[in-house]
Parts: sequence; C-alpha cells; structure tokens
Amino acid sequence: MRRDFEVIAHTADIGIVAKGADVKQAFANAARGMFSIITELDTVKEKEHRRIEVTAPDREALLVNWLNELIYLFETKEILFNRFDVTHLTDTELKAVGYGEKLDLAKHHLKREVKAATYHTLKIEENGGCKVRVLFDI
Amino acid sequence: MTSPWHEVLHKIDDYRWEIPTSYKTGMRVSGLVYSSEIMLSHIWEENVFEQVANVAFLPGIVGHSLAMPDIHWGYGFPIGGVAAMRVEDGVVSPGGVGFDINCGVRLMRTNLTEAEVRPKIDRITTEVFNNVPSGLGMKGKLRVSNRELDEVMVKGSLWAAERGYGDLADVEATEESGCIKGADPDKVSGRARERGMPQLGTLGSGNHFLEIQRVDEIYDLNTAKAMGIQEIGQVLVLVHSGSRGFGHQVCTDYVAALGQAVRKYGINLPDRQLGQKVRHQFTRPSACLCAGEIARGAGISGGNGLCSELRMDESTVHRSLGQRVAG
Repeated sequence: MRRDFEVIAHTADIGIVAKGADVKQAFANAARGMFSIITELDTVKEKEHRRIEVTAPDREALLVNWLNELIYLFETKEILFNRFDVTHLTDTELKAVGYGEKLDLAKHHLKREVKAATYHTLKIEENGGCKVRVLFDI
Repeated sequence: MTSPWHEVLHKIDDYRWEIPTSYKTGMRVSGLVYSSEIMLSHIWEENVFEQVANVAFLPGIVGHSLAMPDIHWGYGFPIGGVAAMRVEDGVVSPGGVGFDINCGVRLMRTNLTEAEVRPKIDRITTEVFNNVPSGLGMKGKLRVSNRELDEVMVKGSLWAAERGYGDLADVEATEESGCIKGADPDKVSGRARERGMPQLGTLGSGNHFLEIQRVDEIYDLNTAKAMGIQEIGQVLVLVHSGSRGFGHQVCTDYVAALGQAVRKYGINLPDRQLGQKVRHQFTRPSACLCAGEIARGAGISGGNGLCSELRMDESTVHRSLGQRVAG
C-alpha cells in the first residue's frame, strides 16, 4: 500500500506528515492519518458518508479547522472515518465528503484520544506535490 | 565547565534565573525561571526558555514571564508558565490556561493502610473501573440538561456536592471551589456543550488517571498533618482529570473565531500558536468573552473532580498555575 501519511512523535505529542499530489489530497490524507491515530483504519467500513464544509481566514487555519471539525464529528456524532474526498479547496474554504461508520466499541478499538489539532510546528509545503505536518494535542 | 544556559540565564540566587529582555527583541518584560541548577539541565533539553521568552511578547504583561519549577514544553505557552496581564491593555492567551481548561489533580486521603488494601487490590481496582467511567469513548453515568450544564459551569464543585457527590468540606478543599466567578454560560457554543455533556462525570483518557497510592516518605510533618497524612503506608487516591472535550472545544471555537485578532490589533508575536490564542483586549466589548469562557471551563472541570464518586479531603496544587488575569 502506498504510504500517504506517516505518524510522527514529538516529546509528549503525536502528529502526522501527510502527502498528496495536490493540497486537496494532502488534506484528505492528513485527516486519514489522524483517524489512524484514533483507531485501526482497517476495522472501519465505509457504511455511510457525510458532507463537511469548513472555512478559515487562511490555509494553515483551514487545515487546523478541518481536522478539528472531524474531531468534533467523531466525539459528538460518534462517526469514525476511513476515507475522504476533498472536492473543493481554496485558501479559505474546504468542502469534502467523509466515508466511514458509527463507532461500535465491540468492533473498534480506540487507541488514543485526539483532543485538538494545533498550530504547533504546522507546515504546508507545496513543491510539485503537497506535504503537510500537523501535531495533535492528546 | 560552563553550562549552556549560562549564556541565556542570569543567576539571581540558587533558585531564581532571569532571561533578560535582550535575549529576544520584542520581549516586553524579562523571564524569571524558578529552578535549582540540577533541574535546569532537564529544562534546557526541552528548549522551553524560548517559550518563556515568547510569552514576554504578549501585550500588557506585568512583571515577568514566569516559569515554575515543573516547566515543560507546551503549546505557545510553556506548561508551568505564569503571566499576569493588565486589564487595560492586556490579552488573554488560552495557551496559558491550557486547552484542557482547569485540569488538575486531587489527592484523597483514606484511613486505610497498605497492609489492609494490598490483599484486596484486585477487587478494589475492579470496583474503581466499574464506577469511574474512563478511557476512550466512555460516557458518564450522569445525564444533565442544558440548563443543568449551565449550573455546573457557574457553580463548579458546589453543583456536584448539591447532587450528593460530596459535601461542603469537599468544596472548601477545592481550589476556587472548583469554579471561577464571572462565568457566563451563554457564551459557550452548542458544540462545546455537545462535547461536554456526555463526558461530565468521567475521568478521561490520555494523561488523565486515577491512582491508588501509598505514602512512601513524609518530608514535612506539619503540612502532611494538615492534609490528614499521618503515616508511611497510608493509602491515598490521586485523580487527574479536566474539562476534556468541553474545554478543548471552547478554545477551538475561540481560536477559530478570533484568529485574526492578532493581525487586527497589530500584535507582534514570534509563535503563531501563541498568537492564535491571543484574545481580544479586555477593553474591547467582547473582551471578557474569553475570560468568561475560561471561567466556565473551570466550572466543568471542578465538577468533574467531585463526580468521580470519590470523596476528597485535600486538594493539591496542580503542575500548571496557568495564566492569571491581574487587575
């Protein structure tokens, strides 16, 4: 399997470096990487989907808001996501569809609680493709 | 041999070290680190003096950017960092409060000894697991309405005591009675409520814990006595919990909503993490929004301290004093 993201550790923090052919893909893979910290992605089936829209003052904030939106959805609607299609992306606006299923503690093993995405050492690099780095507060 | 920190820190006495404003252009006040020289070597490895210096950039900071002996790397603010702000021109930086607003530890004394507890430890641990909801995806046994959640925010530990999860002596032994005056629940978003409500009365996961401990050594007899700690081998329970998703969502909401405040007011900050958390100046109409918000998180967390269905005899000061707003 192609490695679209990598989980990284920084002292007491955990984060991800995600890659993509473009920013849309990198944002989608970052979200996938985040859910790989929360649970085993293999155990999450694509049973339902959800449309997600996020806005922010700039691109860095958009990445943070996007991931925080997903944390909110997971915590309150109890949905685990396995895959994302980012369908629309500007510097200030993101539209996406997330695919996954309802949390079932009998089936899904929760590994870690991710409480928030942070700006700490956040990076968005565009060089042909796109590479992003985000640390999470856990 | 000269230690690397000698170039950065000026020794005041054996336990106080100054980071002068000349260390970084833009520091409004100097940094002051409380530490022994032995501990400095550990602190140095974390590069945390940078963060102490960064906090000194915040508008309205009074005195020094302070670092407590437990200082370690945080988000924007170091953990264990303390800063006082003037009301007129100061800012509120939730990085100083911590996202898990008002998280803290409580020490509960028992009248049991290790000899009595150890043979039954399996049963006790099972009971604790059954009665204290903890870990990921766990919801509390408490069900509260939105209106009741307002009360938790305002009353803190008193709310829990009124519900029978403790008594008034417990509330008195909690810092600020587990709440902060001035809380205004109307400023809390529906999202924070959604995240907070099912978690009320839960311990949490990650670095939140409940430990059954025994007294190993008593360093200060009088202080120990005041806490009801009388002998080696006495069994105590230590709990670390916080406002969990509620506090995080409160911070997340305001980070998103006021992210541009730094630019708007032309505040020069070396670290965006710090900047993103800078709130409106107090004198602006919405200024106290964040301060009130933080007060509310404190209430929820205070409630959580008592709702773990255990009684407390004494509270201890947590690692992080956080940012205090000074008048």
